[in-house]
Amino acid sequence: MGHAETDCRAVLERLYLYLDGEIAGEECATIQIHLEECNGCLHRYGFERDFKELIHRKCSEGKMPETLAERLRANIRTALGH
Amino acid sequence: MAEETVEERRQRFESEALPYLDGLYGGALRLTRNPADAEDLLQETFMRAFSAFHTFEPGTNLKAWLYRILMNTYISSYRKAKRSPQTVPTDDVEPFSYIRSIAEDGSRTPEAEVLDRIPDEEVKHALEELPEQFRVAVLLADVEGFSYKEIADITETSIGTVMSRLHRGRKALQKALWQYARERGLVDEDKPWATPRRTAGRS
Repeated sequence: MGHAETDCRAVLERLYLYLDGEIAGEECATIQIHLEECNGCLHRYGFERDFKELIHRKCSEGKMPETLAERLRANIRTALGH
Repeated sequence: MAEETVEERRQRFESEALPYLDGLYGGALRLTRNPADAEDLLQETFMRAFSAFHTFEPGTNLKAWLYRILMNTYISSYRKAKRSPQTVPTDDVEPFSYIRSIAEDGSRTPEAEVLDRIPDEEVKHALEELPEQFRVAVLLADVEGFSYKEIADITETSIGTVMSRLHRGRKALQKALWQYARERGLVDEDKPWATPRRTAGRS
């Protein structure tokens, strides 16, 4: 093991920032290197990444039903003064 | 520059903003938790958006701008009526502690495979059951893909608050889904990672 426990804590604290694309550059690289060396943190990251993807896929609605879309567009256009 | 006429603004609104109806539908559904209210919320949102459309800065994120109006409309019109809790519980969400095995080859983790067996409708339901502030944070970040800054703008709060709500919301959702998976027998109890609190098997 080439890293200290404090490294793990620091990485896990910033895991969501890393996952959500909120950090860049050197800090990003530091986390990447740690994940390559540390199976524990890599697995935590893997699960969080999978979970984010899962929520996105399962909770997205896509297009609304066409009858509803037509009704809404018509109502809005009418209200806008058409 | 010549002032935009009402008719010009209407045309611009219909060609630029109205196509986002679909994009806001899922958010309206997750917020109101029923299709009839979601429809009303969308209609009111777009009426308000048109009234304010002259304040929208072209070139900035129109979907985020519309989402902010959606949130404000929801808060002022619907949440009040439903009297749903506005604040999150003070007790801390327990950390999700079932992660035990290692995915080294870039494939999905076994825990995620288990949660993936849960039907979409149940996952949506679990999201809708989260306290509102958590629900909104997870919805905007994970379903809609907004940045922390955009979420902070949409919900009129700080980035630090967004991060805290997102963290707690994800943990609460993981816990709820894991509980569902266990109750429905989706977890193979023979697998070492299915047992909470077991120490890591790999050394």
